[in-house]
Amino acid sequence: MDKILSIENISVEYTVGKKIIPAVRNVSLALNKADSLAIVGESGCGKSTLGLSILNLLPKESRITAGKIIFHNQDILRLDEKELQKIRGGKIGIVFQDPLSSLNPVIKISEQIRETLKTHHHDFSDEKIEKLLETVQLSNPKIIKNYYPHQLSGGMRQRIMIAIAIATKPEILIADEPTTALDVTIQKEILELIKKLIKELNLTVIFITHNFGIILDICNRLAVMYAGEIVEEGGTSEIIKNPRHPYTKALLSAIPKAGKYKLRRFNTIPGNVPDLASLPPGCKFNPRCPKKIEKCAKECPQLEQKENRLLRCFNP
Amino acid sequence: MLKLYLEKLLKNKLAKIGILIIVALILTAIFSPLISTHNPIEGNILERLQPPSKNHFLGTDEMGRDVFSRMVYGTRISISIGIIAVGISVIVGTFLGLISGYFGGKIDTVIMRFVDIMLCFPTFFLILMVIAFLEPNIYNVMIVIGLTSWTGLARLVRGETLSVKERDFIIAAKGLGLKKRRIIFVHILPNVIAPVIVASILGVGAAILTESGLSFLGLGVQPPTPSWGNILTSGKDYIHIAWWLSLFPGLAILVTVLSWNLLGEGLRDVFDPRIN
Repeated sequence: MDKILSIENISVEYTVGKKIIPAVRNVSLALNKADSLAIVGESGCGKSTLGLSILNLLPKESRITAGKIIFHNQDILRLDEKELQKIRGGKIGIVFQDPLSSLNPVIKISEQIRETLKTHHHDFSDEKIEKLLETVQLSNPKIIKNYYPHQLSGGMRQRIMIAIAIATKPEILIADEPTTALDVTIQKEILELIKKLIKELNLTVIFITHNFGIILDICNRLAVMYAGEIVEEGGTSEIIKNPRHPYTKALLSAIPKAGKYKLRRFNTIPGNVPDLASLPPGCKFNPRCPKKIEKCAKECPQLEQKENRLLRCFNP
Repeated sequence: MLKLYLEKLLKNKLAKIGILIIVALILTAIFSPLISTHNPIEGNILERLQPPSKNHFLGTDEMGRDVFSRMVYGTRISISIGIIAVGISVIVGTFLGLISGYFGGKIDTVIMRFVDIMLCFPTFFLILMVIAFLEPNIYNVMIVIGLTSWTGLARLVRGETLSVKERDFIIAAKGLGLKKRRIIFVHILPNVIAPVIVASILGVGAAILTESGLSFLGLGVQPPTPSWGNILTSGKDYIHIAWWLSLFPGLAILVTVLSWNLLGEGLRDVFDPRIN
């Protein structure tokens, strides 16, 4: 298989005041051509940080302390600004969480699409822009392209963000919670669109989300993150059918099920997301884990191959 | 967008008055040769110090020159000095503010400490000093006023840039591989321009006032070229016998500065989303 991106032992730290917060610890992931990988976890587990570090886009309070990100045999983290600009938006596209604030409010839609095309030396004619708007299923592209972002709805703006991300025919698309800021019906439309584009453009996708429900029919691979680490990784359907890590199980049981009318409380995971600045010793999930054994609080489990997946647990 | 702003601006009565006066002044400056009734430089010494009359609307000065014509030509000087000086300060201030705010670090420290040093000098004193070394003509006055009044703007733009550069669309623009130059001038600049417009319109009034002050002290535009400031200076010696010589240029300066300020404050209200 063609490996196009491999993340090797990446660690990222944030500095807040004098505290150093390890947001991502020793994460490795590999992505093959036409793979679609979902990274799932609670808020604050480091999944977005990981996504941003792939393009070296982290804010300046953070620092990548170790690891490599190999894309076509070159380490993205060691590239200079010019080479980085070629990859950003050219070879790797990114769609952000909040379409309402990710478009520049004072520039017309058409110009925002055009500048990406122009920067990466693609055809930037009006026809090309209209075609892109059609690709993301916006009706009346001739009219819409002359609008300013505030004249469009959230869903339409996210379609435009997607149009910009795929404009240069990137090899990899990073979607950082692309539907979180949208309401449910629009979410479904956007997901359908992303699914369709993956198929049509043969995209390799990294889909960052906290919502299990939406990944099953988009992603073939799944990595579950907890407190900056990967705790379970493997095929999406295998993991969802048969979760092994207690955290994955807890996350899956927290999804409300449609069709059961009997009134009941939602399942929740007891406890809180751990404070990254003062992590518990041993397994990071042990204070909240229902299947905790003595060893869990003492030793840190490693990510090991177990049957058809990678797992970080002593007592699965 | 522009249309909406214009409509809002025209609803403000004071701003409307300001605009009307400014338009009138600019037209006067452009068509001075048509509007003036006499030659502004050469006068008839026999008609010196005449009070306002049908022939000389605003009277004549100590050399017999027509005050109305001199003031009409003086409008040219005042308006052009105001606008060009502010143009210089907007270009310098906005550029340095953007660079300082976007890059931060050492560049920011150097530019901002320089601004602090500039602000320690009383501006007018600084201008006086520079003009004393240079030849006091209209171009030098414009440049010196421009180059001493950009500091406030640079600080303003830096502050705005600091907040705009952290917004999502700038991170998105970086994520799309856009060049720094493009991010700064195409993405950040239009988002910080509103307060710059307000500050520069208010700045025009201040620059006109500074020029008048300089001319009054004899360091601005040199006679016989008429400017409101030097008409006022020559008028002050005759204030007991020829009140019209100092009253009208004084009024002109007052009204002009006032109308630029009215327009500036009107624009500030238009751009401020909290006042609606």
